[in-house]
Amino acid sequence: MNMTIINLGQITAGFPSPAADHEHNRLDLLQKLVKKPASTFVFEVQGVSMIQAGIMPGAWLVVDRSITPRNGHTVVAVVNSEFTVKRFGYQDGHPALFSANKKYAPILFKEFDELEIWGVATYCINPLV
Amino acid sequence: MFALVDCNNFYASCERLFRPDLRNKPIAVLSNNDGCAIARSEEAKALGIPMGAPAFKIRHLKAHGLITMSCNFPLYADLSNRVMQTLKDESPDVSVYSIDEAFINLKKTKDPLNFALSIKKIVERNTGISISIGIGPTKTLSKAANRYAKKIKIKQTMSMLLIRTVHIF
Repeated sequence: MNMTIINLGQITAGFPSPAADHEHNRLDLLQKLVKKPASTFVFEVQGVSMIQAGIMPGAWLVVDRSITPRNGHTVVAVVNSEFTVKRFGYQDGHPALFSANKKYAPILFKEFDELEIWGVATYCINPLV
Repeated sequence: MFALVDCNNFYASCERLFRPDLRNKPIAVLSNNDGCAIARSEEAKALGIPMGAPAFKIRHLKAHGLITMSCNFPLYADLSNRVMQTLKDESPDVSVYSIDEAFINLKKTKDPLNFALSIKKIVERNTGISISIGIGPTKTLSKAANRYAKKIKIKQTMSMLLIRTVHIF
């Protein structure tokens, strides 16, 4: 014979907690920051090329590979066999990677140049203290 | 119909994912304590390194650019979970067969070839790990088709020849 036991919650012999029916789960940052865990990776930022976009050295970058990069997205790209974080866009009809720092010129990709976008950054977590 | 999804040179692909400088280079991943080669990139296979070759027998190939590296199993387990989760998001009937292989039951799939092409694209985009897919009427034949798909190394082959199987590299 099968029997089903239903858990209806705790029973208190004394005065029940008035808050018991109003409890919420605590804020789960991971759940907020990571929509697709299977395709999300975290990078630690070095350097100052994106400083005017608010991406500071030491920041954690949440990167989702499942997102198709579009004009204006902040992306992790592979340039000269190294990872770099830049804003993806176009200049004079060519795909380009833009820094957020006047000291760094945009990188243009012309015919036969290969641009690999590794993933699209979804959040940036800067350390403040 | 069944599909067998198999990650290409799995441990070597995992190492490469976070080391773009290792792309297009012959790399061999060594077993615990750097004993034997347990994964080889295509370029390392081209150097003639057989599976399980002891490290001392391939040491001289470093002069030809071979890069050997110690294994990093926590990394491989993490990426394996990502690949398997991505497959499970696309199909309700996935059975994980090993760290880098999974069978997918295609019983309810109307167009197995297009389905396989689409999951190949999704897995490679979302996880960065390249996969091969073999399709066959039984699990055994899908495994055989997968082996064939890897051997012939072309983007997409449809073959209804001997065992009525479809291979996708």
